[in-house]
Amino acid sequence: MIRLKNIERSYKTGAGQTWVLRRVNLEIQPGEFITVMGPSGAGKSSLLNVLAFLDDQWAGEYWFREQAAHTMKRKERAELAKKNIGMVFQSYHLLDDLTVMENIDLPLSYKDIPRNQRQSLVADVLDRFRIVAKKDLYPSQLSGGQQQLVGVARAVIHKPVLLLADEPTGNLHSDQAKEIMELFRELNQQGTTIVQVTHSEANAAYGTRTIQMRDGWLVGDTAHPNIGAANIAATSSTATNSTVTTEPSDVAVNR
Amino acid sequence: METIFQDLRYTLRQLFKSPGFTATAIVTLALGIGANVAVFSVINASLLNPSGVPHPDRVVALRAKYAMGDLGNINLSPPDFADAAAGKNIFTSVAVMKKDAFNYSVSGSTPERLSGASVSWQWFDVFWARPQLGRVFRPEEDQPGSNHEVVLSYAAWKRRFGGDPGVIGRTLLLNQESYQVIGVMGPEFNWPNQAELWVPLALPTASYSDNHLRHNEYLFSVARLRPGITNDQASAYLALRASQQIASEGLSSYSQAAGWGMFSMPLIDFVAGDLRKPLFLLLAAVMSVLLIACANIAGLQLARASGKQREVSIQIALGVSRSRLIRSALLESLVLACAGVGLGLVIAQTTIPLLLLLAPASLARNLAIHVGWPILGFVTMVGAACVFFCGVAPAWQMTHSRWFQTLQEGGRSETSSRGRQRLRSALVVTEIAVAMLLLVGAGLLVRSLQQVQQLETGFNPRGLMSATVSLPRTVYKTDEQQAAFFASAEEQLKNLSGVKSAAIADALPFDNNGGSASFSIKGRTEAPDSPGPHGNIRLISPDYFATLGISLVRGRVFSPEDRQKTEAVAMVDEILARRYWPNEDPLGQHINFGDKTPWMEIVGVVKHAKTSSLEADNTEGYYYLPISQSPPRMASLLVRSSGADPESLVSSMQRAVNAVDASLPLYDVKTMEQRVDESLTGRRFLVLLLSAFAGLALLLAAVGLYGVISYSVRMRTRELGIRMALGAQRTDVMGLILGKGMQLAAIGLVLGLVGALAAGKVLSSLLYETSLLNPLTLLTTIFLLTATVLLACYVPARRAAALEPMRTLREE
Repeated sequence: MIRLKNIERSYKTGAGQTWVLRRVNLEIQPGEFITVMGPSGAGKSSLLNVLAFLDDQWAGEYWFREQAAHTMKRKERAELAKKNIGMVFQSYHLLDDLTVMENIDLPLSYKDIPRNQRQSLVADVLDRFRIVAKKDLYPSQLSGGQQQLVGVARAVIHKPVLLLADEPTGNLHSDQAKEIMELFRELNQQGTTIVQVTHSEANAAYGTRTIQMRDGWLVGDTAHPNIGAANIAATSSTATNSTVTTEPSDVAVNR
Repeated sequence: METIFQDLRYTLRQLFKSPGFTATAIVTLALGIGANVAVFSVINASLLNPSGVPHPDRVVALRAKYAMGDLGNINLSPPDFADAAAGKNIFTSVAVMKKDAFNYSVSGSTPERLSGASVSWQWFDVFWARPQLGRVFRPEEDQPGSNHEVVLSYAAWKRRFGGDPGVIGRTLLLNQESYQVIGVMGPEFNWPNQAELWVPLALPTASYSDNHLRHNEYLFSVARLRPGITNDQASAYLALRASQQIASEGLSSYSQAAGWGMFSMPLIDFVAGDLRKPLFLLLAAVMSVLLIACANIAGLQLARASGKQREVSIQIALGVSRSRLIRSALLESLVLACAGVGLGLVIAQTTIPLLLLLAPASLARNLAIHVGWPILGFVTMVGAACVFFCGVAPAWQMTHSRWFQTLQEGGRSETSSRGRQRLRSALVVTEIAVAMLLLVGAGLLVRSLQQVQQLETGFNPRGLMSATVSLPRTVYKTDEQQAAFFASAEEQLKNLSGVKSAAIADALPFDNNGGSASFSIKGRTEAPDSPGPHGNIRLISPDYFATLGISLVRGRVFSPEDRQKTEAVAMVDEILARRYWPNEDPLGQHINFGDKTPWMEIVGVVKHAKTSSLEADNTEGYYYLPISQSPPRMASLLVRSSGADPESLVSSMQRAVNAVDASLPLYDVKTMEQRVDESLTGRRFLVLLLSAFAGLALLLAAVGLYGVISYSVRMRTRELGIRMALGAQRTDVMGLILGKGMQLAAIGLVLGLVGALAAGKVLSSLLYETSLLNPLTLLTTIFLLTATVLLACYVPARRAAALEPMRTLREE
């Protein structure tokens, strides 16, 4: 479903360029539940932002369902994301001024869907996530777990084929975290491809494949146990300082 | 005290650290304050404290009226003045004045025209005006034959005599008669109309008691009320004297029939006249502009307060009292207001001369603007209002924030931000409403001006040049001499190259001269309760109508054969013909001015030409007499250019007159288009200023809206990032931000329209054939406001659309 080739991302800084993604090569098959792990600053969230098309300042090739996203204009990528991708955030990112129902409706409001159909979709999701009773409450009136439940409901309302979750349980109590992860498993079993970023081994256990990242390099992949060696060597040379000024090579080391 | 200095130092440091905010706030305030001070200075100098008139509320103008003749406010006659002056218990002094002009000759140079006045000896007493040098007139100098003294104005003394103190005792040649300079007035006194000199009026004593002169009203009269006497009491006294006069004349008298009477009115009301309402309207407009400026600054301060909330919370946690925080917020406003006042005064000083340049002559020529206590008091008041309005909202917000929560949340309290946002939105809605109100007012006045400009004058003013000449009494002693001068001068003018036709008249349309008089119609007896026929009277040469382009309707115009010794003739215009001969032919009818004057045959009827106003001048008709049969001492010369710019004819007109009499200067030289245009100065003054203030208000409101929307974008960065992450396109985000701006604008717009309708009573009296709901004006105003709002919101909206959702979410 997704094919990344030599994806690189860097920021200009006073000292030169800071690389956050280095020659990332990755293939994601439909129905996978992938966990991205690694220490802080490893490039997990950056990778997720690239996958979500929230970032478009990267270099390399990004094939999404056989479409060359890297040749697309910004607006086309946004359109692609709007149709196919759902996002869940660590801090929920619900809009304080909107009710639960309005928050869930938000992604649909940016699509050409008639109002009646939208209401029906929202009602279905409220029912499915068992939060009908909360529909008129504001986020500040909900617990963290409930807020994240709404966040997930909002992410899947438009039936995305890919669900991206950035530390979805990072702010939750373990019971609430478990509930959310069970929900993810259920969604995955229903066919949704999931990529989650987490520090938690327990959460990673819900996934079917785990990817390890360090200093922007992809250094491990349970689906391809032997591919990380070259990258580990590369990252060890920059481990003390992730700011480098050399140009990246064209060698594809992760296939 | 030490803490105040400490706070002041801290405030100054804070302001220097935000130069953008500080400069915007000071310039915004200065524009508002400058405009207020400029307009208030004009109002102060015209309505509250006219220059050179101590206690102006005690000075009244004495006026006559004819209830039956559309003459509600005219000058007094000599007997009227004598009646008024008899009221010793009412007035401390009463004086009369007749505007005059003098040909001032210095040997070897071209004679100059000096404007001035012939005044009764009490004139300076009424105004409590004291000379800077010498003295003023004595009673015995206000007598025929003894009146060859002159008092100079300060400006004339400086300009024409270099401020020489030795001018006292010198002899000046005025109208070819010798006058001795006896005094120089101070710089503050130049009544009336920035006079350059004054001479004694010297009316014969008998004229004050000659009841034949009762209805010959040509003297402007002023009086100073005794302490404790009100204008109403003075008016009642004059009414009583008038009724006593009518009683003595009998109930069938002309005075009774014409509804004649006398009254008094405050001098400042007389001088300001119709401008009182427009001036106060302008003051209201500039105060609104200042209100917008203050609202803007309050909004800016609220935004800054958001940034400082964590700092304030720490201060509160460390024990700083709320009163000190309020003081600190007000101190910032005080510093800004002081700077705004300083810069505002500079702006006012540069704006006032421009204001006077635009002001109607009737207003500007009586104004001498000095920065005195009233203006300084006003400035202090305005400054204090600024401190209050700019500082109170931020101070209130600052001390009512939930500081503990703020500390806990790291300075990102959404609740207090929303509260501030609502307050700022309310401020901007008010700004837009006020700007809309001013825009609608200005728009309606512009529309009225357009309507008035389209009105016909009744003559063709294009290509016409005019000037005035005055014949000295000592040289032109008889009617024959005066008639001969005018005949020769007209001939000279006609022969000038580039002149198509020329004429002479005692007064021209739109020159604010000329009189009106009652007349009798031969064979008609007026009913006892009728005031008799009345009309504007003009003395004209034969080519007057041809030169002005006024059409002859019936009969003939005057000819060179209509001279002093030939049969007396007259012409009337259509209005007079319709009014007094509605069912008969006026041609061949005879009129005169009473038993002792000859009958004049009406030989022609012409179209009506307007006298002095385009918009309100259709009721009073004209009758015309040949200038050769009743030559005046002062007359206007009129030439029509054969194609060249009429201004180019001025020097040849002067040469033509000097070919007849080398000692006569031309003055009041203007094209007829200028004269017509000047009649619109008052309306244009109001339109220009109100439009300028409305524009300023719109600009400030746009700045305010820009500030609010920018702030709102900053506060909503997280929300916008989430929306974009959830599928909102950049156009959606732009629409969201523009929509917010338009929402505020729409509320302000509706409130402004409601305000305009509420202010309809004030506005409608200033409009001419323009409805308050004039669709073109309203649509234009709405379009202008909407376009400005969109422009003000566009930049922050674009900024919002350019947000990187990834970055905004990461920053969270």
